[in-house]
Amino acid sequence: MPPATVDNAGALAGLRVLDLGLDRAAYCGKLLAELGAVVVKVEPPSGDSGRRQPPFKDDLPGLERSLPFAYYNSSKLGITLDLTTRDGQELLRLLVQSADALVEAFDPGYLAALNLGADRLREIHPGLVVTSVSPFGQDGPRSHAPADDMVTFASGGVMYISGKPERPPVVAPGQQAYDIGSIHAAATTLMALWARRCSGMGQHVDVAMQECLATEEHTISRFAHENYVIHRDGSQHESAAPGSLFPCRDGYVHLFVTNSTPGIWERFMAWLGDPAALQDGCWADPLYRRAHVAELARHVTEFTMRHDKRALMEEAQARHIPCTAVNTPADLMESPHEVARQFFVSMDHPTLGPIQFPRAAYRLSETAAGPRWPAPGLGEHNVDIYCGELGLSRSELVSLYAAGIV
Amino acid sequence: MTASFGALQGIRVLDFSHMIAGPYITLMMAYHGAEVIKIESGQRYDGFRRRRGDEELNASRPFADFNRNKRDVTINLKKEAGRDLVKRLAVISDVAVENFSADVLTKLGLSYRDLCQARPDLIMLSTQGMGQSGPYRDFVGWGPSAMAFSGMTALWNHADAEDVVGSQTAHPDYLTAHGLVAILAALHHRVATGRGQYIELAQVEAAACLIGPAFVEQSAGSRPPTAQGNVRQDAVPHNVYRCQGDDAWCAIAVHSDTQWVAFCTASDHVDWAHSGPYSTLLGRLRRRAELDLAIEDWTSRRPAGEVAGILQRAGVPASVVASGRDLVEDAHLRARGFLMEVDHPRMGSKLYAGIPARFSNTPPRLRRHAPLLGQDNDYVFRELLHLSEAEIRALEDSGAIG
Repeated sequence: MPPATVDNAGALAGLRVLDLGLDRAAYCGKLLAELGAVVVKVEPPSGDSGRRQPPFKDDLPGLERSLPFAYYNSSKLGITLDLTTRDGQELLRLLVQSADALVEAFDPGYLAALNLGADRLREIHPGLVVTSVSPFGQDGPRSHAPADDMVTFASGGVMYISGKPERPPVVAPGQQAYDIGSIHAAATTLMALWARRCSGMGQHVDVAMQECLATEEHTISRFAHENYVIHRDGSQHESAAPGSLFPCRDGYVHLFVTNSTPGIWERFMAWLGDPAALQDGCWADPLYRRAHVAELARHVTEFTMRHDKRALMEEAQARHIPCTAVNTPADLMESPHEVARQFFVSMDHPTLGPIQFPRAAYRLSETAAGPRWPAPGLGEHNVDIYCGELGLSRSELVSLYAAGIV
Repeated sequence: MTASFGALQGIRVLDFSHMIAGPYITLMMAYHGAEVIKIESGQRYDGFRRRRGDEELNASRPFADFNRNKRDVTINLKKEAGRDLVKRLAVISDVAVENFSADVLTKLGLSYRDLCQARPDLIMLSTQGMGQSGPYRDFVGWGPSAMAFSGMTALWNHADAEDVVGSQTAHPDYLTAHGLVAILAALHHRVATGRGQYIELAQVEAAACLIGPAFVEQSAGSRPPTAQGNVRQDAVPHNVYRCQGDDAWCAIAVHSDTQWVAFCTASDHVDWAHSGPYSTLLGRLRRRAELDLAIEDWTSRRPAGEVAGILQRAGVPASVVASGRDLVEDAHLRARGFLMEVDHPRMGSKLYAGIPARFSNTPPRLRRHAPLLGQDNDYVFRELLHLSEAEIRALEDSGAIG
């Protein structure tokens, strides 16, 4: 828990980032903004594609009503700009001069065709870090292939091993391909800014989401080293047994019993009341258990079905057995653990009303991390940025608005 | 090992971590030139070193995967003299990373506070399942436990499924990648203020951030979030389709009329584009299941790679649902240099997943295979800590080194 002395400005106070991350890399800008950077989201006058992303508040669509947009763009400033116009391009070049980094997630080559590519922007401002985030990277035979979140996730290896064997593979909830790519984009942007301290020079960073995804679950090394392809097997983990979900009276628990924890099998058996069917010494061998996992599951399920998930979790944990309740999002919000940790913060959104956000994946002892203000309305900060910072007159801004440029 | 490269050159990381959650973070730092010193001992080594009862500690595939570019020393933390060595290393380190159970380092006298006495501006990251506070702080668990508790598992399913399934994945790379962002932010803060800080990363909370919109949805009140599977309200077709071969699938996503016309043309269904029920979005939405079957009739006659290739060339979002084999054989990943051969003294030359970013001025590099246990004792004790031959021998004799 951050102490009362936490610096509310955040660790990245003073950093300025232009966010052209669309919906794809929206989480990158959010991460940087919620660590203290000033992040200006640049949207087309018709609104970012993320504003049209369901679900909407009360299932009523509207540019200010998308719930995912509200999550992925909190703590940012928002301006509109049509980059396909000459004025729009000129204004972006002006904005770049006072920025430290620009994060973009257009299809590779799109900005270069508008004379706004990384090389051109770094001619204007040599200290600028340009981070390009895309499904497959800026070069290579598939760099121009279009992809949404599911298609990108499919390319990364984890989808193939997700789901039941008798049903098709199933994508992860949310937009995790975009999120994992965005986390790497945020980290590498900060690395490039770190390198700039010595050289004074920015650089171009190329983040390919497929590559960020492809390290997980050893799918590559299992095949490259052992010629072994992992297949999907429901929730059953490859090595642990039990190592899957088990139904109980009011839902499910997840159990993960590996022999890398000494004495765990004996503790597990004692908790189950030493069932006669599992007393044979062969069950103490994790390889035997994994090979007979269906039979094992029947016996474990007989036990779990007699109890509720939270009681199972708390009793197992008192015996140092890895068991957790399978929570719904509502369960997590109400869990005594997250209530005590004040993980959820409430914010009053002008259109959506009071909504709750997870704070942040991390807590820093000296600096604030987490939502600062709700996502910007479309063009909410146009006056502040164009007039207040770039020095345009109100009358010039009106002309640009009338022409559809902002 | 001495060549300087990468955006993080000059940064030294004291790495107490094991398995994946911490090692993944320090691996990314090592790729970018940070000098990562992994602390193990002959008694307490990274659990990944020992696989399935094998006595050989230097030929583990997952260890070799997650510890490339790192240095390795053997220091016994249970010995006072061993802890002194760690504190001397802390003096010359910028960052420490650990993923022990919540109070292991505190009990050893190596908490953040203790290490700060050696290095006042140290940045330290701890990552555990439940974090460092709260009633469930001491819960034991692994990646899948954190995913289950967070709400992610309950939502990871087909929309029409009756039982909860989740995934077999443990997700550690995805959850702890967040830690990299926090460490970098803390380094920037240190430049500005001269102060280090302590970072806590609860894997349950990292998992919750990856399904963040579900909590916004829950609190916005209309209805609780449920599993959506491969179906999206804003795109149709949007699913995975069985292809020719054993358990082969292609993911296809059509988000616009332009993409729909391209799909129909590329898949020899031009008639669908211009007349009949599939020519409009509403028509496709109302016949989603029927359309999926018709599309699968086309995909199931072709290998997944061919289906994906035809659609990608036509500008339709599509990808093979890639297995480990597909990734290893992916010409695109090879062309980008993402897949890389690494030679290892005990394992020979093998292919690994590589570095997920290109930097134009300070390129990340792979400079060495994962270390053998204690491989860098000489470098660390002689060159970094300037210990004499006699001092090292005495520490080895007492068991503090080794």
